[in-house]
Amino acid sequence: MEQIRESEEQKSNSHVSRLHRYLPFTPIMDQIFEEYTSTTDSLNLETRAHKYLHGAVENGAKIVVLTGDAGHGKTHLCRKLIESYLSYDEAEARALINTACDGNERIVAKDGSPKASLWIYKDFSELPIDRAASEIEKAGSREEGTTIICANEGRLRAVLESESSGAKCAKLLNDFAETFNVGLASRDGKDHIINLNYQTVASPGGSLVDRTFKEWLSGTRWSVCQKCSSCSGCPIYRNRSLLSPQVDHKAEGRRRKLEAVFATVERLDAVVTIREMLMTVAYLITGGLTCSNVHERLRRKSHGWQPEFAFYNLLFQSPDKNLVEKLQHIPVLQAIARIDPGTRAIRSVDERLINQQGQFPEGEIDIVFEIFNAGRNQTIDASNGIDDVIGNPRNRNERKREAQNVEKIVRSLRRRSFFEDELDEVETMKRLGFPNGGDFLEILRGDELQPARMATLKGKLIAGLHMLQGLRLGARETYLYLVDPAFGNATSHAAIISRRISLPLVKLIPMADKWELAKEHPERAMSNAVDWLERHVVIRIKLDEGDYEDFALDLMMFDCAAQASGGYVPEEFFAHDIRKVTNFFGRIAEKTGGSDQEISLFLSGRMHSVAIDNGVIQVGGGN
Amino acid sequence: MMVEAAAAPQTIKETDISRKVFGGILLYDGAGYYPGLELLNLVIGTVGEQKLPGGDEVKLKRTAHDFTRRLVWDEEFHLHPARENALVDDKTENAIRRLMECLQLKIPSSNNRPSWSRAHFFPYSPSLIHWDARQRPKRSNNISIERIYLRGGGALAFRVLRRDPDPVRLERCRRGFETLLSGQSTPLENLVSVLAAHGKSDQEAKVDDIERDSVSRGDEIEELYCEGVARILEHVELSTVARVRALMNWTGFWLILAQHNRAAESISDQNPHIICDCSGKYPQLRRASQRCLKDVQALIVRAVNAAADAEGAVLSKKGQNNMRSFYWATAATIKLLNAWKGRRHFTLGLDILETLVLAGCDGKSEVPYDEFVNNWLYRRCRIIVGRSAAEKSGFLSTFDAGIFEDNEMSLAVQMEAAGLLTQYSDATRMVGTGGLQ
Repeated sequence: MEQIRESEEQKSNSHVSRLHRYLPFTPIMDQIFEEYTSTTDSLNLETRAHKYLHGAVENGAKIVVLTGDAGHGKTHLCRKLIESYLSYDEAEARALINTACDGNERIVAKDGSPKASLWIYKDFSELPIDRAASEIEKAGSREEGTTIICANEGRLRAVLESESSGAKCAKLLNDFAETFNVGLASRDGKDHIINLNYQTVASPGGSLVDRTFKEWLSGTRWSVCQKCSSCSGCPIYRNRSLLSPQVDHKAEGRRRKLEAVFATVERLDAVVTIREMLMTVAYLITGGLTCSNVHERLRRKSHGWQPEFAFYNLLFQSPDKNLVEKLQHIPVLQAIARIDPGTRAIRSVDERLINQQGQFPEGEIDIVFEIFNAGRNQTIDASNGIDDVIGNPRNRNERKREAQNVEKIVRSLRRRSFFEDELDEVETMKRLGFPNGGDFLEILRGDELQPARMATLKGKLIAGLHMLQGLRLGARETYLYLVDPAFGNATSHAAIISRRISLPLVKLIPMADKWELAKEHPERAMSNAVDWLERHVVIRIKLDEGDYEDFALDLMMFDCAAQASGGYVPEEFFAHDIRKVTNFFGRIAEKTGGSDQEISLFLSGRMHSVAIDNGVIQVGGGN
Repeated sequence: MMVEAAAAPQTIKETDISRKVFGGILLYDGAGYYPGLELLNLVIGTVGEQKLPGGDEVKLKRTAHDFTRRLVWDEEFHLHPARENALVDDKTENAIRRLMECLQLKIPSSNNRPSWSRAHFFPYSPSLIHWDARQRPKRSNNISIERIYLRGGGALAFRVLRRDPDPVRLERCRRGFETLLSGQSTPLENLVSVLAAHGKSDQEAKVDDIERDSVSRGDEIEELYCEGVARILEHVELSTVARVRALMNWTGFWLILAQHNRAAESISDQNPHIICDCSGKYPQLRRASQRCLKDVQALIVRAVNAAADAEGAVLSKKGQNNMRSFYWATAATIKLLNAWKGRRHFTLGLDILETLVLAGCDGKSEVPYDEFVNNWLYRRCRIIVGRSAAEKSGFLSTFDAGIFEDNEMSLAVQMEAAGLLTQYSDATRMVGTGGLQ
């Protein structure tokens, strides 16, 4: 009897408390700052940036600049380097980070060997700009050791461009600017600039987000929950089960979808730092609830409140109004909310979810809702669709409430369906709101893509770019026409063509492939210096001999152009993207110009030519 | 004994009051893009060696573009005597008609097909720049080049530019206009110049009275305009079209800014600012912005009435409305207002946003976002977006500071999407035209 009572007690899982220390909700969020992390329960994610950094230092680098937003793990990298290069253990390395990393102290190897030593500035923002510039000059003149400088990108630019900057600053500034043009983290193997803003948390094959889930959801950390009396109604344990392959065979697929969501927001130009990713993962597992919160809630109500805390709902919608403000500290959630599959109505999906029975197993706590309808509380098991929600509303308020209930349940079902269904990448992107996202991903595969398929995709994109300029041409055009910028909008009925470019001179390439020099030195390429994700499709237009212009399309802009190829583009929605595209083409059209004698006219879907003879105008062609 | 009746105050002309209060003629008919068009006409049409000449008055040669405008918008164009000398056949006529129709300057107040004298071309190319014209007598082939919609806003702007006390900046503007308007040989320019030659132009240069009578005061607000124009013209990394568009919007924006500030000055009203709602999330901010628009218009009416009083005269209701409406109509055209009709509030649409960035940033250089919002938008252009601006204007006593922080954040998101802002790190956001290149 005693044993049974003990096994039914309410338990508290220390791992849940640990996850809470990653959330920016309370003052105890110490786990997300390297300086405060304790060694006993730290999470050590191996990143490609660390491998590159270690290799660079081993090979005699003079200066290594680690730049990027706060939270990318610059201090963490320094600590890891102290461990791996100077052979200190984790606790010693942490102590050194807190005491000897302001650039004033030379850190030598633990065994005292002088050949390996580091000078580390763990935060350049702490120094005044003039002082920081002189420290860089000093680092350049040091005979021994490698100097590691951590600075966010804005601060680094300010320091390198400051009035007190010298020759070394000028060189680094040039190197930094060139990282964007040539894609190399180092041009000479001596000075390195690792821009962590290129680092992704969703790189294909072993992403940081997946490794974090693996680390936090596996092992014996959750065994205590099985003895807890609240286990069957606990949303935290439910999330753990849904995302653990040992428990649920669909978990692997759900984690792939989570990776896809992170990759998609990164392809929309959001920068996701490792700190933000850790906060998000901790939030997705716990929903901001502690074990005692769960016990308390279960004492009040056994079911109906859990769906809001399912990871797939937490990802896109806050469960509680009070949390909204706190979640501002995790900016990536705002970016993720914009691609909520719950807000996308796709007929084939909705008909299945709403009308067909048994789409999900009955009675699971994340799809049993409690709603207030027609004057009473009602429990709805949404595994059977929304039929039970529909009552007979008698007034406007009841109608409104019923609509809200239906919306809440349908959105939840759509999200769960997104994570449960076996979807290819085209369908996944469609559910996230990018009907042409599949094409985008295909192009990013680069050389793997068959030339015939690439030609089709290029034709489609070019048709879209024509449409954005007001030219309604098919997908089989062999030229890219550039419209005179005066006519460059999608509602023009006619236009003058400034220039036409033969299609072979237009290339669609992934972002990393645009850096020719980086291909020649892959060991120093930025794409190898950090965990890498292809985020942009680049349109390369070859103009004259050797001269070309590149235009990078992020996922949103690509989708805009690809949608336009169908003959219509919602101009207001895509106004910013259209403006960028037309500005780019306008500049190229003006830069290259056309023949003074030749005037080409686009009218009613056909090309015409205009001749001017002694002040008399004649329009020909177009038949 | 007969009691002599008190003499009724005489009615004063709205143009005189407008010139007295604002320095130039700012009336509803000439609102929107027309001041920008007028300015370009004056720049390109002024006779002399250099653009923006000094002196008290300028002589001007104007072009009507009546032939092309009648080709596009006049149903009786088939009666035009020059038709067959310019266009070979009906097919050519139809093609050119449809082509030129795409270049129409938008008329936001109407969706109807305009008459030819109501319609203008957007001045994308030098040969497209033209003055107002009409048939006198009606339905005759006698064309009179005269002011209809080009009422004087552009003339004030032109006078301010050419009388800029800073000789270096004046030279920058001259060079900028030279680059913008000369030596173009695009297919569009070639075609339009042929069409323009078939229309009426002034044979002899004439003095522009409206420009001569406009008053340049050489104050801070005029300095702002000259600075903005010089910067816009120097953005040679962008297409001509982008610069012309920005110049048109900047001229409109500056005129309403000057109208607002000079109205406030004339009745000693303090702190003339506008509140922009960029987030669309907070009803309090939306209401404050709506109220601000009403207050600005009321202020203008008060100022012009006070000026009429000082002259011992009264201003007609129509006259008051004409000056008040110049403000909102111009603001709506350049997308500083959310809409032309209905409940309106201040916002920053794509056009005005791009313009403010071009006018606020030198060439390819970048400005920190905080400086752009606090120094350029608030201090120079008198637009309240962020927390610091709201604090300085005393709005934080009635509003939650978080609203303005969010407002500032939303503007940054919009600017980033438009390629006008680069986020280098979470701590550094820079404003510039890099994303437009």
